[in-house]
Amino acid sequence: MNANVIKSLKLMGMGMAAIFLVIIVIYAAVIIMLRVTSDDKK
Amino acid sequence: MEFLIEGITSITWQQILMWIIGGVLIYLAIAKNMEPSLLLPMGFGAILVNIPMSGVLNQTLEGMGEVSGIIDWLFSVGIEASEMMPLLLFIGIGAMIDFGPLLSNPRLLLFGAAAQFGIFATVTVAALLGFNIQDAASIGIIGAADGPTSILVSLVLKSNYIGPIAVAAYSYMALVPIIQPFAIKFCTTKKDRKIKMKYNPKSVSRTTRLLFPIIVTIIAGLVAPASISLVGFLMFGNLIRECGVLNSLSETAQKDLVNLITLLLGITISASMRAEQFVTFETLLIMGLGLLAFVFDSIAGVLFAKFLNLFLKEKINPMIGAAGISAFPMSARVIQKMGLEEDSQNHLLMHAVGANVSGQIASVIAGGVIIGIVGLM
Repeated sequence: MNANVIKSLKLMGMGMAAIFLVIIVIYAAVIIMLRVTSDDKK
Repeated sequence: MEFLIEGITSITWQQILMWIIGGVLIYLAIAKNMEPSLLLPMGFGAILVNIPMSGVLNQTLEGMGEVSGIIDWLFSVGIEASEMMPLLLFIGIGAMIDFGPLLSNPRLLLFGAAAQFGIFATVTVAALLGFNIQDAASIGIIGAADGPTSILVSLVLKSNYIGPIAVAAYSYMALVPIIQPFAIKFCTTKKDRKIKMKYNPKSVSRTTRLLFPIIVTIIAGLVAPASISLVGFLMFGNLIRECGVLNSLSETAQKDLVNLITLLLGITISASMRAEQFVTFETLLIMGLGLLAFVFDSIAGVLFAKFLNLFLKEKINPMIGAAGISAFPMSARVIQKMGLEEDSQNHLLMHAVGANVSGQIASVIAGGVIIGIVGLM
């Protein structure tokens, strides 16, 4: 297989994993923030 | 008197084709109201830079030597040197976005991540078609459905196709109301599209709204440092909006800053629309791949929602997944409209808006991640 295709597949795997990792950490942080600040309603 | 006809005799058919393309962009902007703030300057710029010996470009004049052209100068200072224009635009975009619908239903964040799959699928197709990894990644990022991110990534990766990529990104963003219904109907049934979702938003404290942009910046910066300029400027704009003590700056960022940068960005991008660079077979391929990226994004979002439904008691309308692309707020409106078409009581707007702003965050993270990973390859 062409080297660029292999790189693109590697990019797909690493890229989607990185995006989901960042989003899941943000998700967890938001959940914690919502709980911690639940008394301080807008 | 030869100099009077020198311009006319130097015209090439490629330049005439670019005038036509410029005319089409101006027509779409004015007659069809398609992203007029960008397509109109780009269209006019395409004509400007394709006039033989155009004074807006750098050139060597007999007896005068090297002469700077304004569009080349704007491109070099405003985009090439530091990506200033697309980044400053993010401050305004951040100031415009209300993350409230997302914060009140944070699981919608996941759809933003899922819908970025179209970027990577398109990168692979582009690589299969023979583009090198830098160009393939720059073409794939059209699927971020985010013009400034597309421009920035293609610049940082030094792609040879910045012009076609910018045109494709903005054109397809304007075509979201046509592209997405087709893609969504392709992978959903009528029954799927009729699923109703309750809207029980959690109340969001002011502290959460204030902390959100700071925490997102830190998390994104730590995990994907290359995304920090994109995410950081977006979140800086949002912090100005939410802090409550900089209303005048927030308004300036949302209106004056965005208008000024948009005005210059469109015409500056035209520096990459010179006939010799633009009139190529690759441009046609890039336009096709850009369309594919938007379709892949929408399908990936829908399929991800269907996957989540396997584990959920309260089902998600799979169309919400397609709103995970960054084209805000067009995509959310499309989903709301499609929901109402299936059932006049099926209101999906707030869920779709949440997924849509999540797409905005995920697309800039995707841009940074791609810059980071491709840079290491």
